[in-house]
Amino acid sequence: MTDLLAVLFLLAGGFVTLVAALGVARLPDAFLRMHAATKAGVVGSGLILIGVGFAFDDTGTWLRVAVIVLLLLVTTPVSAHALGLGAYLGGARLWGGTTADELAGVLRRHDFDAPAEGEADRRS
Amino acid sequence: MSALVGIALSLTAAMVVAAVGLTVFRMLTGPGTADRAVALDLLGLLAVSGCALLALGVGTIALLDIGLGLGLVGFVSAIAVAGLMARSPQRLPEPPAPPEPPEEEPRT
Repeated sequence: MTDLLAVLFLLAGGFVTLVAALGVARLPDAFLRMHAATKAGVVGSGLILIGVGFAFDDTGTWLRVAVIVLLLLVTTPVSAHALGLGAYLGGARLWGGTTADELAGVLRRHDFDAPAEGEADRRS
Repeated sequence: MSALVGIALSLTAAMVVAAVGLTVFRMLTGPGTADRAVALDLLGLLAVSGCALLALGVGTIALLDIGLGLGLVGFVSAIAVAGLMARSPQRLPEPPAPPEPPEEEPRT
């Protein structure tokens, strides 16, 4: 029974992980990519960890799995929020189909990827 | 570990490796620093999954602890890169004028 559950959770986790990576590779915009990476990524990792817990099925493994899943659930939204703010302030380009930019005029953006002063002269 | 779990482990490992390939593709070609930072965040999560799968394949529970450490380091690195992008203007503002020297007290 636990073997069947382990197989189920492992395959579901692998599928969700693959979908997350596909989103990161295919979506058009840093913000949409962050949406795919953090939400689907943490679900996929959590499912794989729970599957490993079912496969071992003893107390030490379940304890470690619980600690790691809780850690991921706590830290991933924070890092996603920080990355989104950093990408917006750093001037990541918005997708052309974006309809609303609530922060336009509220936050000042700069161009993080622009070459620094003096570097452009050296390149040309 | 039964044969069924072994097959599922192989399939899941293949899917995770494919996910790592896609993420590394985005990391190499991503047009900006933000895309690369997002790919780095996802790579941290994939490393945790990989550690869990390796623990199951080898049969050593201690590898899960490495996954815990990798999760912590991935979080800190994502925060660091985000802070760097958020507060680093390319052209630094003019340095503030040096403060006026205090007026000398009239000597009495």
